[in-house]
Amino acid sequence: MNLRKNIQKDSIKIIIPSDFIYLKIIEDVFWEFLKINKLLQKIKADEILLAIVEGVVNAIKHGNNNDLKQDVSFFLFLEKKYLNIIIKDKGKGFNLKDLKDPTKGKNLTNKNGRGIFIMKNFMDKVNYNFSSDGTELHMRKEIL
Amino acid sequence: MTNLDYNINIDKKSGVAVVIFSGSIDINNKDKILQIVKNRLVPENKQFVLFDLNNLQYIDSSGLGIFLTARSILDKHNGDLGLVVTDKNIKKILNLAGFNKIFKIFDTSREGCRKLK
Repeated sequence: MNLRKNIQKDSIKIIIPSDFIYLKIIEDVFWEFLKINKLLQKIKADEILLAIVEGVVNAIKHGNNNDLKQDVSFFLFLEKKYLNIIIKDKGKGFNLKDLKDPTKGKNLTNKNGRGIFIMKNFMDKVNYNFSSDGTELHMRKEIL
Repeated sequence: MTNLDYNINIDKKSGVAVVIFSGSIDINNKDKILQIVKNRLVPENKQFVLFDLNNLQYIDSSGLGIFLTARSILDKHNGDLGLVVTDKNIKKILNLAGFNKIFKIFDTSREGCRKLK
């Protein structure tokens, strides 16, 4: 696939089945999007990519329960001085209050539960919207 | 980011197994780490292990989780898992996850081989 041809200057939306093998496509799209928009020197790309991967993994695993019939949508766009990311799955969502700080006490040895924590640390804004259509994760990072 | 390569060196003096990783540790290849521990190190009685992450380019939270599982396996064999890392990006992720509180983290493999046991 010629990614450059398929990416609009300031936005891209792709839909993948709920399988981790498709993460590579999202990663390739992300790097190409940064190159096209000359953002490589203006943001901490590695950290944003990690936040994206954590968001997509959660969408596939927890949102869609690895059901290949359920899609995950990934939307990347620029708005003023911000890089915005929206990740959608078909899941019912969860209670944000149930999330535990993985760096405290017994949680330190939990083998899961670090994804959202990483996202919150590497992005300026992380919000979840839950509706009957599914779950939307919104993340935003200021471009320096 | 699914390419993960590794080399295993055994430190003659301490007997510690040093696994030098390069590439990425992520959800698509994390099980390779367990295979190394279960199928190669434990059967050879190498229960004290260092994961050298200095050539690693990327790790996600799945990779972090697998380190905990690997350490549990080694712990059951009366061993331990230490991490070797100086790369600031990888170190930042480890610290963010609180791994600096629960893992022995070293700057060099040589230091780790001396101090892990």
